[in-house]
Amino acid sequence: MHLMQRESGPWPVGAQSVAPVKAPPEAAPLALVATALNLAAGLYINLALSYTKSDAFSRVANAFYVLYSRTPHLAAVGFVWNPLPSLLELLLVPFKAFWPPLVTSGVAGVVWSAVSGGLSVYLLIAILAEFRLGRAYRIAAGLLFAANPLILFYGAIGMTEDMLIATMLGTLLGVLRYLGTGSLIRLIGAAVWLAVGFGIRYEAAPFGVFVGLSLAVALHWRGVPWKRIESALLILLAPLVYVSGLWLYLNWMIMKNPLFFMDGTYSNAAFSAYGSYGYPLLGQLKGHPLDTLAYVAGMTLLFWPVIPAGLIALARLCGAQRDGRLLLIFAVSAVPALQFALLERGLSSGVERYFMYYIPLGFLLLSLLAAEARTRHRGILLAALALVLALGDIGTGYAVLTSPILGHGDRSDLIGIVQGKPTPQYVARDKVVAYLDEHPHLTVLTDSAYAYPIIVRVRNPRQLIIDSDADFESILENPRGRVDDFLLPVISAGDVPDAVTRAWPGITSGKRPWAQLVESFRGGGTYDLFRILPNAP
Amino acid sequence: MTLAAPSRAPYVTLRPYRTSQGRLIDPVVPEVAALVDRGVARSLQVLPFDATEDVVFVAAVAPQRQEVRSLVKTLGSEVRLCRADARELSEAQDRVDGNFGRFGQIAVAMGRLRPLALRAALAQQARQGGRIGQILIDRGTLSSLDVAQVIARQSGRPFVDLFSGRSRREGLETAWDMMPENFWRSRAVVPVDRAGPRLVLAAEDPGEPSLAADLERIFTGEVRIYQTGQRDVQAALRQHYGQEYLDLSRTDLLRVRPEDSAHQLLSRGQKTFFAVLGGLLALCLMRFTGQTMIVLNALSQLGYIALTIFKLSIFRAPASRRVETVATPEELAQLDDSSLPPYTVFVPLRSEASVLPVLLRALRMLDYPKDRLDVKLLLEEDDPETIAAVSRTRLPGYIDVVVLPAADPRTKPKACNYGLLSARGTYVVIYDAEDIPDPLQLKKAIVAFRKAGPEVGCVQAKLSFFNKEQNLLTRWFTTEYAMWFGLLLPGLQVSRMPIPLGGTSNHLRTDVLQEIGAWDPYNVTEDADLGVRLYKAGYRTVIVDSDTLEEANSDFVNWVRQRSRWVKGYIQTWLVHMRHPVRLWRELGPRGFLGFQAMVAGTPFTFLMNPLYWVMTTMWFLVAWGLVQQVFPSWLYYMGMGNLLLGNFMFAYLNMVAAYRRGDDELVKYAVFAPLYWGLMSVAAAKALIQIVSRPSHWEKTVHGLADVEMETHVA
Repeated sequence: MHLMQRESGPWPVGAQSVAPVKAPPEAAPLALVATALNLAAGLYINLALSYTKSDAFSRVANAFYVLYSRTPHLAAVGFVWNPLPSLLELLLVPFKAFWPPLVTSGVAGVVWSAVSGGLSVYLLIAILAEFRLGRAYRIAAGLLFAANPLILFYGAIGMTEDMLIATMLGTLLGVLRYLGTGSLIRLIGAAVWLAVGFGIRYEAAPFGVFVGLSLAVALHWRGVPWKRIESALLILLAPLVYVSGLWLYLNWMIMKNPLFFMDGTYSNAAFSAYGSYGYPLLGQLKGHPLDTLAYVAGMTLLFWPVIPAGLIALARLCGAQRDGRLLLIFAVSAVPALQFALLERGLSSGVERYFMYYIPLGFLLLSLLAAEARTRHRGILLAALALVLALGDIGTGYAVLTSPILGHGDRSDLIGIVQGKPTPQYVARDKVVAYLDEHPHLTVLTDSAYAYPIIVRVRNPRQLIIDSDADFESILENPRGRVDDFLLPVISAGDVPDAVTRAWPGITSGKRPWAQLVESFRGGGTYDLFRILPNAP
Repeated sequence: MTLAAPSRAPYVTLRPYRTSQGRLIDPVVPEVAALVDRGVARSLQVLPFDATEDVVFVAAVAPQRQEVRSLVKTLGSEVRLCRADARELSEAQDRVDGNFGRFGQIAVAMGRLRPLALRAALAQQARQGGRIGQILIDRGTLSSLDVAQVIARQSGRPFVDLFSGRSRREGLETAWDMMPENFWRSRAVVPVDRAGPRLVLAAEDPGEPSLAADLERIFTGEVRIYQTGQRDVQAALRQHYGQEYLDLSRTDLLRVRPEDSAHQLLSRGQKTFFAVLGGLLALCLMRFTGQTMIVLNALSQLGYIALTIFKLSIFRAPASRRVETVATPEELAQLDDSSLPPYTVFVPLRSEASVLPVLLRALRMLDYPKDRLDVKLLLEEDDPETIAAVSRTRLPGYIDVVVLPAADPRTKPKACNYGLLSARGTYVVIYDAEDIPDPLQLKKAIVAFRKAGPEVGCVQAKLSFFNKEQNLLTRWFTTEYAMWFGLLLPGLQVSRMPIPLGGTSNHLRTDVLQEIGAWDPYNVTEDADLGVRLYKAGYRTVIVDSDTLEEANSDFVNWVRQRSRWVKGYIQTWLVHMRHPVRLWRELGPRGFLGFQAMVAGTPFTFLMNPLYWVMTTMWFLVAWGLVQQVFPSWLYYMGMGNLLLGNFMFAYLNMVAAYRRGDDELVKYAVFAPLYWGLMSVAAAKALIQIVSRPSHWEKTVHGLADVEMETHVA
């Protein structure tokens, strides 16, 4: 193959020249359909059912702090967490003046997750075209992918899973095209997708490693010299490594701990340590690799077609067929593999969304196997395959709605949504907002991790001192004369305490005489407002 | 009539000769020769060659022969018989009769050429066309003087050796002065004698019809044209116009387009502008220190962002596909050698005697009909070592040696301008002494020119290094060149922006080069400047996919010297062309203007500003330097942080991409550390900044021959 040809002598040939590869014409319209579907579902869930996912909402809030906190600054976006979603949402935050729910209900996040869902469909179709599958099948597969309950749900509620899936598909598309054409720009494109993926979720790192290893093996199978493989890997992984390093550096710079994202206050490890996950099965997995493996493997039932597809693909790889594309597609299972490592150490909640990557894996594996199948009845095969994918989607819905294990995570929320039940209102939050709006002269310190729905809703967010403010720690330590009140959530057992409680243990139980409870807001959670007395430090 | 006794017949030479005054005399007067039937004269080996009012002088090989004596009696006046050499007489007969045999036959007959050598040369001519005389010169069979003598014999013209050692006539000055220098140069003709209305000229190609027509039109008196050698003409021109050539090579651009010359670094307007700007800045810094620094910092950050966006947009096309012109093997095979035009190759040499053997080998490897190859080794008069080395070397016929008089500025462009005055090629190209061009490069350039159309004035080949693996510096240097020639210049080509040419391997149309005033001898990056001037004049530059391997600078000090010259040259070029910004905008158009600013101003700008920000960043982390906080309000801080963290990575990554694209896989990992290399560039830029003030046109000579690999191994 022509990928690595070099002329002899001192004038080696560099990159291959290829005509630009265009996505098939149906990709963009289907992406728009998927986006619209996600958006419609998202607006219904968010506005009609008042459902917001805290992770998604807090990212919008982080973007909000950048512009509207006491000291507007970009770092308020929280660079210790993967910042790209919030940075994207930052673009929409100013439009809250025209439509407040963009921020007050976290719709900005919904918009981006919906767009990501559409982008995923676009990229999936482009990959299927790369496999030379026909248009009818591509349209069917694209629609079925968009309609998968988990893909649709997380594309509709502002979460980052669909965003990461989009970047994974982008990476795979780039690498597959690179393998097919030798085009350098495709490899660079894959590298950029990887780096963007890391800006969204750090699972992109293991995915990148898996893709890199797969690419190395694929190139090796093709007889490419090691030097060339090495340089291709450097091109592919350098942006990811750099962005990862940058992120560690930012963690160190901001929190003095390069691994803060992993073991910091609101990390999975911290939640795990406080017992927040409270899921008996997780305790059984810790220290038991075989059980953990069984759990991780069992999650393939979230999209059952991945099981036969994976087995056939593995059999072909173990046999004579050395198809690097199969290896690359398997790289999508890097995230479940990471979950295996984390669960085995008790550092993950093991929820279903961490395993939804089996869905694109199943779509891609099945499609590639079908593309390579030698049959005279290709049309029938593809129609049958589309049926299998549809059954897979049904299986996903059935699994998460009926199985407490497979649906571990957002099952109850999903059931409520399917049944069209509005989410219980957080009355306490609204009471706090009303109180603060009625007392605009008060300066209140609070931990945004719990108070973000309040911060984004009060009329004057600048009356709140929040943890992204540069002087937050200082005022927390020495509040006298600098702040009127502390606003504390009442934490249920197993939750990570808020910053005030961590700094002043016992404050809620009266052990801090300089803090006097003046208001308690109840209903769907509780918030207490403590007045800072003159004898405070 | 009387007849001198044959036994006392004196010998006479019938070959043209010079008098002690330097006059050139052909002893045979054609009108006198016509006194005898030409056929009879040949058969009897006699030739009436001169006459006075009373006496006819007749040369004969055997004056004592009865038939001869009978013949001359028929002339009807007093005849003086002279004895002549048979060959000379035959040559004289040919001159009179215009008996032009075929070149090869004559050369063989004259004993200058062996039949076998002729056959080989004719075979070559059949393959690739060209003139047989030039082919024989290039094969080393004949010298140019030999060829001239054969042509003289063939055409019947007298031959003259312009440098036979005799002194030249004083009165010849007036002959030279009859026409301007470019008349003599363009027609390759020089005056050799003048007596009253009679003018004798020597030409490389006297038979050229246009020459005769021109001379007839210009000169009213009798004009005779003698044959001489091509190098004799060039040498005579240089001898006569030495000072004028030197002046032309130094001041032509200054004379034709003074606003484009770097002779004066700053125009009066610029001096005023910078003085006012400096004053205002000083005032603002004193009165509004903080705000002024923030504004300056913001402008600088915006500059970085603009450059980053510009380069990203530029790089996209060449990273996606091959945008440079590719001459395919089929296209090269289809090139008809006989259709190839003359090609001039300039090789400026200074203190580079050591690389001469490899250079000659590399030149010999050039796959181009040698009879149309006009290589000029440009030597400096005050470089005796190189001159001696060249003198000791037996040069092939297609290589000319041009020795420049010692004079300032001692720059490569001045040498090339000097060489251009005697260039014969339709195209010219510059190679450095240590260059190893792709053997097919000239043909590839021809293909590129033919593909591109008349708006293309220059074809730039790519440069890389043969000693890339020598040390870290050469590795970085190679990746930088890979980026420059593999991504940046092709990107500029696609974007139709001015291309700052590389130092060598730029193939130029000679007419275009002359039209725009050739190289600026005062600009130390004359190549970059030329690229801009080409664009200004409406010509495009295209990149051809052909490499020239050079020696990467492996010594840090030497590298700084070279790099400081480049940075200084860019600043020079920017200042020169920005003398009239509005006019420049009109000449280049918005796109060209943008490209010019980004490339010519942006390159030194980043080199100079980088260390400032690196120092500030370091000081901020080490001691939380207050100044940093002062000049970086939060909005600017993020901009700066973005530039620092993303911009630097992006450019390092592009270096990796460029190395990969070139196939330099072993260098990709070294490109990761390119920011360290940029630190070195900043050192050179600082030196350049000092020099732009103290010695703006000083040419920092790069020392070659430091490579640890044998160049010979790459010439193949």
